[in-house]
This record gives sequence, structure tokens and C-alpha cells, in this order.
Amino acid sequence: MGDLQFYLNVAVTGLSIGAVYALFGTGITLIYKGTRVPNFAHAAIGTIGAYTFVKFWDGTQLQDPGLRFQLPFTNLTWNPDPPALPFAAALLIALVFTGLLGLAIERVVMRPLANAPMLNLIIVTIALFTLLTGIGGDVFGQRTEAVPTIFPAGQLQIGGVNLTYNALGTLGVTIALAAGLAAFFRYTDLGIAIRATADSREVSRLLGISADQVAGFAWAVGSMLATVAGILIASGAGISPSGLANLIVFGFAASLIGGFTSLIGTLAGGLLIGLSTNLVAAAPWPRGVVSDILAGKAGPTLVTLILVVGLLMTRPKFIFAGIRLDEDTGVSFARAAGGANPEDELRRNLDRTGQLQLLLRDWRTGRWALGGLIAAFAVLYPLLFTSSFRDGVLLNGVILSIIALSVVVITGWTGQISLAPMTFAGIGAFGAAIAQTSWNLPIPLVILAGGLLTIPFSLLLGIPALRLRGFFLALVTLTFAYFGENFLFIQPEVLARSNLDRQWFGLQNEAMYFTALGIAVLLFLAMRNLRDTRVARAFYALRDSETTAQAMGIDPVGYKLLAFSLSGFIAGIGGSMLGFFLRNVDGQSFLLFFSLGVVLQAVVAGVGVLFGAALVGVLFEIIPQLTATPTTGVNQAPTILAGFLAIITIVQNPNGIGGSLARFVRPFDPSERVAWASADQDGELVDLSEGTSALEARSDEIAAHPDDDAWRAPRDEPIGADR
Amino acid sequence: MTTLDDPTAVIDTVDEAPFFEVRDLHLAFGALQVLQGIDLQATRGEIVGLIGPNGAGKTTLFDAVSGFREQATGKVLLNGVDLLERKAWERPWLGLGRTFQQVTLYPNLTVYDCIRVSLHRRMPNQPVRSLLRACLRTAASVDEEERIRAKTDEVVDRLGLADYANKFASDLSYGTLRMAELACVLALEPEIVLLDEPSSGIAQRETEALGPVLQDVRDELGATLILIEHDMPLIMGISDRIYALANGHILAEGTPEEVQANPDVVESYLGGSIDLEAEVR
Repeated sequence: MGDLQFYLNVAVTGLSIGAVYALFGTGITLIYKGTRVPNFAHAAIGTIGAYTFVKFWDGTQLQDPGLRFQLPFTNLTWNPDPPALPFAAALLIALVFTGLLGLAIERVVMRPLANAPMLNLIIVTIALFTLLTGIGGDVFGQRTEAVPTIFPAGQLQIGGVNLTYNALGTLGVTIALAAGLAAFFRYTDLGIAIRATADSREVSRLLGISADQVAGFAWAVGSMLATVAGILIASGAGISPSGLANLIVFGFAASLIGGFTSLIGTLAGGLLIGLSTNLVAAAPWPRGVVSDILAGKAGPTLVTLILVVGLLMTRPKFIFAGIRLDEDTGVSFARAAGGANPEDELRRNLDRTGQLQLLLRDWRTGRWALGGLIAAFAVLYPLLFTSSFRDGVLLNGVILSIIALSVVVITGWTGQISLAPMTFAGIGAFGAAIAQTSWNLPIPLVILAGGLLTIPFSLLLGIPALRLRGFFLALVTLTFAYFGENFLFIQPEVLARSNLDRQWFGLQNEAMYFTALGIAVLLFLAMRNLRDTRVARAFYALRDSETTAQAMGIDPVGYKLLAFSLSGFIAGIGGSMLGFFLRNVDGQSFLLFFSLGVVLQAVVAGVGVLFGAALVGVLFEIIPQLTATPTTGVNQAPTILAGFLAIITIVQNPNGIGGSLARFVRPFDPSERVAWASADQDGELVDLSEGTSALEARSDEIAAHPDDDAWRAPRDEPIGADR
Repeated sequence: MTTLDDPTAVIDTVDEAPFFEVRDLHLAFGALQVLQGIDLQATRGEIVGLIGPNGAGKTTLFDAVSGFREQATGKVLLNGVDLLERKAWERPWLGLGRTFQQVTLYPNLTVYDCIRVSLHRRMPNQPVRSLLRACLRTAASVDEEERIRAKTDEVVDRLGLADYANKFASDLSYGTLRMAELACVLALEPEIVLLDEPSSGIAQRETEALGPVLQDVRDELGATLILIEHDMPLIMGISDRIYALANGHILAEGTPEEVQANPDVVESYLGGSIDLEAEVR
């Protein structure tokens, strides 16, 4: 077989994979167009749709054909066996189900967030992603199932090139759907309405188009497209609950090439990615360093990273023409959802009832008791109840809190969304292993090395962050997390040095736990010291308004890179402790999926507050693990709970649980914006009526302003200075 | 790099040589020439007014001077240093302060913290070293924070913001927010302040109070003020000199009386003598 034939075969395979990426991207583009929401949950919806189809289709021979419904933490279960139905019926069920799911998501979760800042939209769809993936894993089972091809088996041979019917069918379905949708947008009234809504919800409302209906349509059709894509990729291959999760990276990449607006561009983008990654994987790299580095998934992963980051950094005009510049501005969490300012409302309510005053007064005296109890538990529990398993749980909880602390620094304080905290932990873990095996450093220096080795990567990731915010930064960090999982952590040179010798700690977990606890206390104390200094205030200023911060002399480059490095260092330290716990460091502990989980958990617990980070380990590791029993636990309960709580948090309470709890233990934290923070340092309420500024004092008889919205400051960046 | 640690440098040391000078400043957005060779000077302690119709290029001039329009060409000299060669964030360190037409400040910070952000510029700019010191809570870091606190209290008192110090910027009325922004700029201890429509969005009564407040600021800091303003009584009342801009050009320059009498200015901006009389009263 000649070279040309070989590459043509590679190209055909690449194009059929690319077709699935394109179809994923098409759904993402559709939802973005119709609702301005970047749907990080898209792959999860596709997985659920594909599983539904597979369970009902009579063409499959599943090891685990049943469905499993269980009320969390109870024995109430229902295990129905779905009937085996013909292809068309199973497909219909899957499409109708995911269509309804899309409608439900739009109605219940997204509609209250119609005017929410981009960061909230990102977090809420990530929450949907983990929620759906978790529920999917529980309902459909954790097995990887084989799925026969949905197209006729066999292939055409044209000039030595094998065209399987599966590949041809996948390409055909994708192109037909993309072309059909493009025609729909061009020629039908509803299609035009969606495009109008994408441009401006306000204008479309004036034109009598219901933005809600448009959003519902986009979510329903987008979800069905995800299902078709999920079925196509499972066809002839297989399916597992988390197997499709990483497709989100490729779906976004395809959608990015289409500028998040053009369906044809998305189609071309998906095909291009499939083609280029497959060619890189198949290319005959010279044996040696390069072929080792690019072996397996590594090559395609590198290509994807370069493509995504390159496009976002250079922003070629033909792609970015359709994207409004204001869409990539980052906005801090505490901004109001839905136009009103819920915190103000909450505060007014509390002021009226006086509950706030009560709470603060009680907790001022109680906080030392509470803190003492937690400290006593952390120290005495492992001493009294000797159990290596339980020590391990506590250890993992402490490590999780350290990693969550890194999220607080970068996202809560500096306003830079990073979806790769576990990737930095992984770099720390592998870095520690390399420091020990290659350099023979003593244990304390090994742990430190794990933290320090993250810094070059932080700086690299920080470079795109200097130009990108919000969604685009999230996209870069998401791709970086994928890059960690499928490039950095599968390098043979790295894996060859992945064993950590933990003799020093003994074989039981107790010594490690206390070491980790000590390190965590040091890190939290350091951040507590930092919190009220000018360095931290530079972070807050950049988070709130980069323009104003620059006008006041804050160096955005230096301080952003500093925040990224600090955050990476903290995660790296947590990672090196995790490495010692694992002994044999393995990329499976640092998946993209886990990174998203940690970010969500931090949001739930309060991403702006140190106490929130401390809470993450307790809420999402220690409590579930110590209370779960084999019969009452549901595998995915913590994941599902985190997703669920994150949605509630974003919709109802943008400050997170920790933000509220911090009120109880610490009356005033200047770094956070909390509804009732008008309490002063002593926990006493400040009079909320207007005082007198020099401006007013100068004026003869200025009455206090009516608390009228017209007087409120505009909440957007100054237009005059933005580019 | 200049330091202004001595707040006693007051206006009786007015320097006659223009310590601030804009020379032949050009700026284009694509084919659109927004600034077409602006020349402008200011001496120490002077209050200079900029007037002109919408689109004359006033805010763009401020943006170019303060570093938010990097395409600008020409020279902007402050104490002999060309600001155009520096990054936006470096310019406050050289003595330049500015306010924005639409104030946001930092919505999630208290007024006290907003001001403390500005005091960063009074301390050495060494991010890594400051970070390590802060984490370890060294004596140097504690001392720095003490000094920042003391200066902040001073600024808060000067502008009468004590009642608002613990309020979040996003909870302030617009007039108070403007004062808070001014406080942040003053905390930089700038030698020259660019004020972009300080009266916009605040009540008429407060506008009347604004002139004396700005004069106080000038008197106490000895800083030069350059302000864009559409409120004619205010700007004519407090400015030592006025520049009138139109279509990216300087149309006229002189004392308030001279500029008001300039026929070109009346034609292009003030819109006829009857209106002018009505407005100036």
C-alpha cells in the first residue's frame, strides 16, 4: 500500500471523527447563538441521550441492560428493564427525552439567569455537566458497553481507500444536519428570529419575538443534536458514563472555529480538527524524542491545545467578526443575576427584620467555640479512632481543601476563571515524584518542589490570561486541563519516575495526615496574612475593574502572573501530598472532570472566602466518605450534590455557602462582597442611611438621596476606556 | 521616578515652565482621525478646562494621555518624561491621575479598600517580594500596611467619606461614588489629575459644590487639574485657562473670558450668544 493510500485512509477516519466533533460543536453553536450561554454540559447531555438510545435499542447486547434509580442515602430503589425496541423507536425515545431535558434545563436553570454574568453561566453549565454525568453514572451503570454500528457493517473500497459505511454514514448525517440547520437559519422565520435574539434580546423583544421561546428551541434542538453526536460516536465503538466527557473540548474547539456563530464554520472546524489530529497521530515521526512525546493521544492533544490557544490569542478577523467584544469580559461572581441586585434586597430584608444583628451577636461569642471544636476534631479524631482508612479520608479532605484554596486565590480573589486546578495538583504530584526519584531530595524539599515546579506552567497559562477573560479564558484553561490529562501525564519519561517513596511517613496514613494538616494550616495562615495587604488588594482591583486598576497604578501583567503562580503553587503543594498518598502517581487522579468538580465545590462553599476553601474538604470529602455505607451510599452522591448545590448557589446565592457561614465566624472580610457586610469590624451594624461627603457638606442643604435606582452607579466597565 | 512623599509641596511654589505638555498628539481609529495634532500645556497648580462638542476628542485625549489608547502618536511630557512610552499602569507612578466619565471603581470593594488600592503606588512596586513578605507577615509588611491605613484615614477625612468607608462601591449613590473615585485618585498623590466630566450624573446642587471641592483639592495637593466639563458655569468659574476642542483640533485657548468671547467657539460649541448668556447667567 502506498503512502498516499495510507494517508487517504487516515484522512477518512479523521473526517468521520471530525464529523462527530462538528455535530457536538453545532449544538454548542446553536445554544450560544440563541441564548449566549456557553454550554459546558453539552457532552453530558449527549452521553445521557446516547445511553438512553443504547438501553432501548434491540440491536445491542448489553452486559448491564437495566436502569437503576435510587434515592440517595436510602434503600429505596427501582430497577426497571427497558424494553428492546427497534432502531427508530429507540432513537425517537432518546431524542424526545433529551429534547425535553433541554427544555427543562432552559426553563428551570437558565431562564432565571437570562442576564447573568458570563462567569455564572459558565459555572452553572459546568454544574449541569457534573450533575448529569453523576446521575447518568448512577442510572445507566458504570460499565463500558460495546455498541454495534448503527449503519450496515462493511465497507466500500475505492482505489485502496476503505470507506466503512459507519464512517460514510457519520459524515452523511452530520453534513445533512448542519446543512439543514444552516438553511433553517437562513430561510425560516424562526431561524431569523433566533439570529435576531442572538444579536439583542432587547431588540427582539421589541420586534415581538419571545426570547424565552427562542432559548427553549435552541436548548431542545441543541440537546437533540448532542444525542445524535453521542450515538454516532458510540456506534461501532462503545460507551461509558464519563467517556464522552472530553468531547466537550473538541466540541468547543469546532464551535470556536465557527466563531460560535457560523454553523458551516463549525462543521468545517470539526472536520478540520478530526483531520489534523488524526494526521498528526498517524504521521511517521522520526523515532526518538519527538515520537515518544507525541505517542498515542499526546500528538492530537497538543494539536488541539495549539489550535484553541492560537485562535484565541490571534483572533483572526474572519472568525471573530461575529463575536461581540464585550462577551469575553470577566465579571466577578457577586454581580447580580437578572438585573436586580439580590444582595441589596437580601440586606434590606435582613435589616428590616433585624435577624442579621441577632446572628452576628450570637456568633461573635460562638465563633471561638466553633473553631475550637473543628480544631479538636481534626486533631483528636485520628488519635482516638485509629483507622488508616479514616485517616486517609481526612488526609484527602485536607488535600482537597488545599486545592480549593488555589481556586479561591485565582478565581475568587483575582477573578480569573481557571478550570484546571487538578491539573496543577497533578503537575505537583508528578513534580514531587521526579524530585524524589531523579534528584533524591529530602521529603520537605520534595513537597516544596512539587509546588515550585508548577510555576513555569502557571506562567505559560498566565500568558493567554493576560489577553483573555471570562468564557475564552475558561476555554483555554479547559483545554489546558485536557492537555494535562492527555499529554503531560501520559509522557513515558514522566511515568517512568512516578513512584513516591513514603517510608518517611510510615505505611499508615496518620503521620501523613498530620503533615498535610500542618501544611494546610501554614498555607491558610499565609493566605490569611495576605488577604488584607496591598498585594491581595491588587488582585481584587484587577478582578473588579482592570481599567480602573491600571489607572490607579496596578500592573495587570505582573499581578495576574503572580496570582496564577501563587494559585498553581498552592495546588502543587496539595498535589505533592496527594502523590505521597497515592505512592504511584497516575494521571487518572488528575482528570479534567475532577478539575471541574473542585471548581464547583469551591463555588458552592464560597469562592471568595478562605473559610469556603476549608469547608470544601469537609463538605465534599470527609462528611460523605465517613457517613457513607455500602448499602445507603450512592456512588455519585457527592458529585451530584455538588452539581445541584452549585446550581442553587449561582441562582440563589452568588456568594456561596461559605460566604454566608463566614458571617457567623468572622464578621467582616474586606476581600469578599457579602450582602450583609455593612457590619463593621466589631460586628455592629453601621447605619445604612446616607452620611455626608465633602461634596454634600459643601452644598447648603442637600437632602439625602432618595434610594432610587436612577442614582445607582452604572455597573459596567467605563465604555470610554475599554477596547 | 518621582515621589511625592512631601504633601507640603503646595501651590505657592508654582512653576512657570509648563511641567505638563502635550505635543502634536495624533490618533486615528482606522480612517477616522480623532485627534489631529493636539498641543496643550499646563503649569503646576493650574486648573485647565477642556470644552467642546460631543465627538470633539476630549475623552479620547484623556484616554491617550493615560495610556488606554496605545495607537496615539506624538509626545506627552510630564516632568520631561514622555508618557506615551510608558504603559498605562506606569503612568500613575510618574504622577498622573485620572477619573472616568462613567465611574465604576471596584464594585465589590469597600470605599476604604478602594482607596487603599491606590496607596499601592506609594510603596515599592516589587510584586514577588511584597507577596512573600505579606504571607510571612514580616515587620516590613505590617509597617507598610500601617502606613497605608494612616494615609487612607487622611484621605477619607479630607473628602468627608468617613460615613461611607465601609460601604461597597456598588452601593453608593453616584455623587458619592464620584467623590470616592476622586479620593482614590488623590491617594495616588498625583502631580496632575485628568477629570472626565466630574459633574456628570450628579445632582445640580452637588454640581454647585463641586467647584469649591476641586479648588480645595488643588490648593491642598498643589496638583494640576485638567477637566472636561459640559457644565459651563462650573468650568468657567474654576478654570484658570480653557482649551476649546472641535473635531480633534484645538480651536481656541485662553482665559475663560477670552474663550467665551471667541467667535469660533461660540459658533461650534456654545451655540450662539443668546444661549451663552442664558447658560452663564
